[in-house]
Amino acid sequence: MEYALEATGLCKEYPGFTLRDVSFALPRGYIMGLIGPNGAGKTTVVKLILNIVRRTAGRIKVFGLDNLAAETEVKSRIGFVLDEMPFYGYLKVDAIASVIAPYYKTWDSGRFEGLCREFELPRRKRVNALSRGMKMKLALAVALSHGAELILMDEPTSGLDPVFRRELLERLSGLIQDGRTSILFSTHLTSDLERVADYITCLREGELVFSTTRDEILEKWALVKGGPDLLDAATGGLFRGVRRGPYGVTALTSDKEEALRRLAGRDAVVERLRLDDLVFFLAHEGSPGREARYE
Amino acid sequence: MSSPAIAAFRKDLRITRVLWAPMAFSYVVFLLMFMNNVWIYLATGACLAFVAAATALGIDDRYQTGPLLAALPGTRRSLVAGRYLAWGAATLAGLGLFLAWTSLALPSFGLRTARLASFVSLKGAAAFLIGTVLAGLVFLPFHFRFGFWRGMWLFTAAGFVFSAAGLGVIAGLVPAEARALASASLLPKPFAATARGLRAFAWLIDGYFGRPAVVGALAGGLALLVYLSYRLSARFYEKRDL
Repeated sequence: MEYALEATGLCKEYPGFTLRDVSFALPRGYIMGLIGPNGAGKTTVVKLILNIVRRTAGRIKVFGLDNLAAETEVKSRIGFVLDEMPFYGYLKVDAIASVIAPYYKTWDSGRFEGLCREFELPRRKRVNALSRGMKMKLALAVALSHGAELILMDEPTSGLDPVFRRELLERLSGLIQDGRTSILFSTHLTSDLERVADYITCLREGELVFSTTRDEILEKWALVKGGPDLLDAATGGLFRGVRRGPYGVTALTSDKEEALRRLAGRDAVVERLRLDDLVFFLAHEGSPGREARYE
Repeated sequence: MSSPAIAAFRKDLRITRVLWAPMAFSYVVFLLMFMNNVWIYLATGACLAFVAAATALGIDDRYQTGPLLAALPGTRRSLVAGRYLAWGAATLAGLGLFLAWTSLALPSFGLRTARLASFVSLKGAAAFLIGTVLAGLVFLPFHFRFGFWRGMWLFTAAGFVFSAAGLGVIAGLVPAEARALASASLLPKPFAATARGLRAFAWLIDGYFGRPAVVGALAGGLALLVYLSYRLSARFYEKRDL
């Protein structure tokens, strides 16, 4: 299988935060969602791929090329949207394109103009006068104007209205139809990923929780709901996160088959998982003191 | 020169373009204010060229564009090369404006500016460049290591210390009469030493900076410093997280 992106043993140490031994691979022509609670290391991973921050250890390959050894070539084939896209506020939209275009040999001005029209971006308006959503659209237009084969997006849908968000997701799905474009997409809005992502990589506190296909997650992981007696010896070790409420317990399992087997005949329901449940429970996985609670 | 470095250079020109006219206007107004003292006139021109060259860096700091620029095609080294190119272009533009304005001012202001005529020469250009280029070559590594504002503060602090030391050395190289101060007794001792160094430096400029051999040697020395400063900046910037 040909990979658009391979990260192996990625480490980055900051004061107060460490990204530890993160490995994942994104096959060419697919969309991968990067999920996890705040401070999980999603933005750090995107920044490491773009060499905005220096890795402490590990290796990143983009289309088989080391992202540091072949930095210029690798970046020429990447389109990116950063969480906070720092454009020059006093420049007009057109001028932003004229600043960025010389960096890309394959920059297509006609395509940029077309995307501005499609996104209803006023090209004569200064960036300072654009809303956060419009700035995000500008970042997207820039990212999509040079025929990038790998698109990295850090929280691209935050600040966008639901209509454009939906349109963007459809566009992203459309982009990969050529079989050559791949997308790595970090987001808090996991419902977006359920629509479009083929692969999901989950991080928590700088560590990889899993990196696998969306279908496998939805097949193997599940939510279990039951009474207060759900947590007993028979279900020991089955759950990776537990939420206790006044009327019962909701728990996350990574082995749906095993849960069904062990809970057969008991008053419990095994439900289909949503990705936001997954992030919520994994954020509280571990000691009982960190259990998710609701009152 | 790699194409990402050229793109970075063009970027600096593009983002400062809106300021060229006001900067040029301010430049001539400031020069006009200091026409009565040729050395202050020269120093003002050189300092303003430094400020003009640093403007692009200030804009990038204002909008925190470091991560965006680092993510664009190219290496940290090419970003540094682009900065050095832009710095050089701004310095040369400052020199051009300085010489052009000084030439234009001469006929208009007559005798008051008679001594300025000596600056429209190889000597004037060399004196102007030695100040601005040296300052830039020292400042840029600070900038790439510490960022714009912290780098500027550290550069200023280091600049005071090393300028005072350098001027002290220069004062020791020239004859006593060339560094004598008319009112030395009025100045505290450390300032008097610096003032003597400045007088000695002015004497050196007057006497030697017009000689092609000296200018050639200065150009060679500056070229070596450009290389060392660039290598240091690139090394610093490659290690920085943005």
